[in-house]
Amino acid sequence: MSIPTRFVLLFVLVFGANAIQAQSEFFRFKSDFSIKEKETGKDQGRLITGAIYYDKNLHKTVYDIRFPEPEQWLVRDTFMYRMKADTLVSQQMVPPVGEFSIFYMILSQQLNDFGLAKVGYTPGDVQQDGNQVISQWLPPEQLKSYLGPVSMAQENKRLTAAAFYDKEKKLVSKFYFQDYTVQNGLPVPGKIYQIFYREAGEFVRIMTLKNIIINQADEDNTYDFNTPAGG
Amino acid sequence: MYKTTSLFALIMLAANSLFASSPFNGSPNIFDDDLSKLDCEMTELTLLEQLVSETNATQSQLLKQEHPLVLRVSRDENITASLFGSSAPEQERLMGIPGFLWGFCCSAFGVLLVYLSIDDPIAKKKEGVQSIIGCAVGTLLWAGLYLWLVLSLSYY
Repeated sequence: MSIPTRFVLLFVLVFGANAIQAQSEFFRFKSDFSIKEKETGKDQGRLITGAIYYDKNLHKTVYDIRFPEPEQWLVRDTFMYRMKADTLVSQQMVPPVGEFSIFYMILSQQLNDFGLAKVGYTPGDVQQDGNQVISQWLPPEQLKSYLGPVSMAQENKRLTAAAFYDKEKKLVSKFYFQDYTVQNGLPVPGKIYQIFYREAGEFVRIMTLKNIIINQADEDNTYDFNTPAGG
Repeated sequence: MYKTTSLFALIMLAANSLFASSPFNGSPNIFDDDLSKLDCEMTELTLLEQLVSETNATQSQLLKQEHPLVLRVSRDENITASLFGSSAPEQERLMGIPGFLWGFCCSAFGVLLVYLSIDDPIAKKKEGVQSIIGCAVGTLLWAGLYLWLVLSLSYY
């Protein structure tokens, strides 16, 4: 097979796979959410509550925030619009958050392994500890100067915890995924604990998801919001 | 492109800090944190969450009432870090992803995103420099790959 033929085949395979993925079964996620976070040694923390609307195919995310103050954060591609009482109050450039979010991973069914294999991580030691299967994953050789290994725990083939290390193999953060429910056949964690280990102490964030709806058929105008006037 | 975005998604979940509290030692199970203890530390915030859920009250309304629970939450209006994942201004990273990778994967656009999105001046300088290095390394690699392709195709 000549090199040009190989490249044509590679092109077809890559873009074909992306096209199939774009039309995958799960594409919309709606949930009430709360985020609680607190830093070690500080009296005050933070609470945010609201609802999230995410459409994987449209690459749009809406954070309909109720507390601390009612406002909407509309994220589309690399722009985020902050709305208060239907008035645009600010906008800023952000990364294409939709594809980086936990909601994308849930809908894409990548949460059970964070998509580690697809980005070139290779599996290392696997150990059984009670009901948990704990596996270690090593970063791609060419990125070992920048990324560290990852440990993951699974129970009944669902991710229950993950630990991330820096390139010097020092623990950076841990995640725990709890209270799974099955929505339309899709396992969704109801509670996510995040612990960040820093020199100043630990920083803890707890995210809860309730009233989850997958592939909601209505509220199209919310999922597919129009760019605000002036934006 | 899909691989790149997947890598970003992974790293976003991975890191907000350069420093660590315990080494990677291959322990059979490091997932032994007492989550109920974490819940206990958040008791007041949980009570506030329940109050807000029941009354639909906002922070400003509760402040007017001088409700004791609302004194336990920060009045900082910038909730970007909470929604997008960072945990400390001086260690701010764009979505928790190292600046090097922004530059490496997104080239000049990644460098621009880093400089425009990070507010803290210390973090902006640190991550900005890393993104430029990443951009340079990425550009060299792509140029090398391009040359290899051109040479390979011309050979055949």
